[in-house]
Amino acid sequence: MSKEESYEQAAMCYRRAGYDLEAARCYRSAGAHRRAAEIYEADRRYAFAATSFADAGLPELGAWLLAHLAGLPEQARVLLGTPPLEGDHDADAAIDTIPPSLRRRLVLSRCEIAEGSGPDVIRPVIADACAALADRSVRSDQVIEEWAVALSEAAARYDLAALVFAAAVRGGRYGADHRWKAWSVRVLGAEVIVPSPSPATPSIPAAPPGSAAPPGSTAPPGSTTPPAPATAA
Amino acid sequence: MRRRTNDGPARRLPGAGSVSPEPQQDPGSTADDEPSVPEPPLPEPQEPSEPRSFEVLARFVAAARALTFAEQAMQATQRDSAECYRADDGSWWVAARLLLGAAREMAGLGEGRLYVRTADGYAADRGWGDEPAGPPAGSLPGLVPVTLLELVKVAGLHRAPVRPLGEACLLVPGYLASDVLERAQDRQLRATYQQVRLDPLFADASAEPWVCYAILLTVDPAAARRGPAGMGQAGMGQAAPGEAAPARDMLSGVLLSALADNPFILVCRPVDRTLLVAYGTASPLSDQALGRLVAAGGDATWLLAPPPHGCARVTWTGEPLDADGLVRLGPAHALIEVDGTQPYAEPAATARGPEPRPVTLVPAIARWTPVDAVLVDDADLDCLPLLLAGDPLADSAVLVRGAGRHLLTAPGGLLTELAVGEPLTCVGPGSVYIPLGYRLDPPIGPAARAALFRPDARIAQVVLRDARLGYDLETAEPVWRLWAGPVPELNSQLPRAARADLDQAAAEIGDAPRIPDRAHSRLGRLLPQPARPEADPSGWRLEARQAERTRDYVTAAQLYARHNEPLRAARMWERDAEEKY
Repeated sequence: MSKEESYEQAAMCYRRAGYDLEAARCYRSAGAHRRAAEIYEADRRYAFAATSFADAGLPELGAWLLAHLAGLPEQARVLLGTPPLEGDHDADAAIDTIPPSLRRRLVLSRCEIAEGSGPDVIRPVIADACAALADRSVRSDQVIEEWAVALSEAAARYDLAALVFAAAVRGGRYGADHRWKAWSVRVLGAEVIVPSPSPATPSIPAAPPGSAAPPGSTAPPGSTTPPAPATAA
Repeated sequence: MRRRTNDGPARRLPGAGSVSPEPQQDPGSTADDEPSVPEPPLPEPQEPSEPRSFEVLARFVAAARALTFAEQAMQATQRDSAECYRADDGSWWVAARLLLGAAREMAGLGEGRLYVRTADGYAADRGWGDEPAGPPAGSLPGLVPVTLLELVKVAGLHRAPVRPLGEACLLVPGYLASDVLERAQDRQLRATYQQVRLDPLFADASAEPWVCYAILLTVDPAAARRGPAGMGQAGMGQAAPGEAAPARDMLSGVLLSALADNPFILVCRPVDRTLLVAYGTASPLSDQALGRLVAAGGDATWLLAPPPHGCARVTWTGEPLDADGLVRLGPAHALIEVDGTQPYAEPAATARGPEPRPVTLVPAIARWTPVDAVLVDDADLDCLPLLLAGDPLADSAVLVRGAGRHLLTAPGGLLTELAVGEPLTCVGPGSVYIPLGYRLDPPIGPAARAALFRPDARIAQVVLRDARLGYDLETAEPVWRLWAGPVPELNSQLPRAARADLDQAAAEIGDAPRIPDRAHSRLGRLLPQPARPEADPSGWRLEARQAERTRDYVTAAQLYARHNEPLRAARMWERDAEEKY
């Protein structure tokens, strides 16, 4: 049994015993940085989690934690500048369906919001996120939708969050309509009715960047499918 | 004829001079429309037309003004050169293709006269309105083409404000270079020097060349950070009146002016290493345009300086050398051989290699470390019954007695902190313990620890700052023996009838009944007492302890995991990983 396997066994036993931080330490020693990062994130130790994500080759995830949850945009920017480590043992780290530039731009926009920039700085990246989510040829990436919605919330641009959900529904992202409803209830205090898109409905081209709807609008830009959700008081 | 669509008169701003609107200008493109005046509806939309360019000739009486016009014409047409002419009457002419309005403004700036090319020839422009449509002007004077360089030569250099420079180039004769360089080093400036050859700029290249040294001065950033003593501006005094305080990385204008006052020194302002312009002067042609002229001429650098300094083509010879090379050192600075007085060198015969230092303990970065054992003294032993009696740990913990200090441990580690004693953690290999919060110094890995400590399955070692204690694990006894003494003697309870029979038989044979030491066979031989102990429910723990002592941590971990003790299993897995290298 290799050293890394012994550390993994130790980590699993520590988790069974309820010693999560010790488990995370052993996971890091075993090279399973992503699992360590998830434990640190659940324990709200965002700095450790960000470092572990970066070691797992996912600096964007770590930078998002720092910028969005820890409120440390400067450290997030520093983390984005670090190249991912080679030879990581996490196979999950290689999965990246969306070009990392979009994730990176979302994180950088979140950093700008955290640093006090105006809400309009997020419009270009939200437009690109909508385009990626509405494109059925792009594999699903839950992170893009989640981050785009969170970014819109942080900027108090709930209309842009609605655009993101609408794009996800148009792109056929699994469960997007339910997430939209739950978000609406949680944030707006009102329930939206989202018609299920017809399977025969052709893919609607993504809205070009900069053509986002004016503030207050919840309708997808330039499209009628799905129709504008009705808000029930 | 092309008519202006804007019928209103051209707006004339008070005191702003003439404004020359372009003919055929798009009415929608004027930026100063007044929205308060309602415009009558246009009968039909018209196609917007591009402004028309005209071939123009501008006449100037001064070369500097012609050069100014040429500079603006080149910028407007994005060209690197301009067509220049010299007339018989001494006037200078510049030809260009420009918008008429722009050409009028440019010519008006230099008080020039503008001629516009028509179908019949060049017609004098009246300076406003549409292009001249009348007959051409009388015969133009005879024009002789001249180069832009000729125009630069005649135009000369005018005075420019004295400003701080990031870099300055001094042209000095060789016999003065050392003094200037020492002076620069006194001011803690960064100075390099390089020989240059000066060839005539306006005459043939076959003329006799001249040689001098170019000294490049810049501010040493390190010296500038140290304070005002090093910078050039402080070395020569404060900034001149009216001069803004120079930046720390700029050469002071006062310093440069003082250097320029020396008649043997020509202070120049380098422009991209292609142009050296005398400090405090400038040409009507911009530095960028002059740089393009240099490139077009195929030269490396031009020197432009007013009389009496002269202009030249500059050829750099060799590489720039640092000024430190010219510093005259005293005899004590001559290079010497290594003679044994140097503290860094030892004689080869007695040289010793690096000496290993003893392994000791130093405080470590605090992090959670499992407690595998506790070192207790005699006084602490009295407290153990109070702490452990009734605790499940007491069932498995063992005490190894020593001389004054004793080792309390448990299979798989104590994994809990007690209120007494010094907590220890096992660093391996085997049973090698160090106090919690410390690490070995120098840091050594498992292989080195195995070689140095020689772990033995029978001996537990405790490494302290100044000692290494050994405990014989064979003498370990359960810790509960500290408070649990012997139990009462076992009294076999026989029934009364059996007891009466035994008493009667004893009376008959005259011997008191006694309990046989051992059982007898029918033939009167002793039989071995069959041992029938109850199975110890914690026997697996002894097995795990033995596996741990033999460093079979995997077996120990599996035993603990099987008996639902994941924390001890984790500790065994971790020790197994830590001892692998």
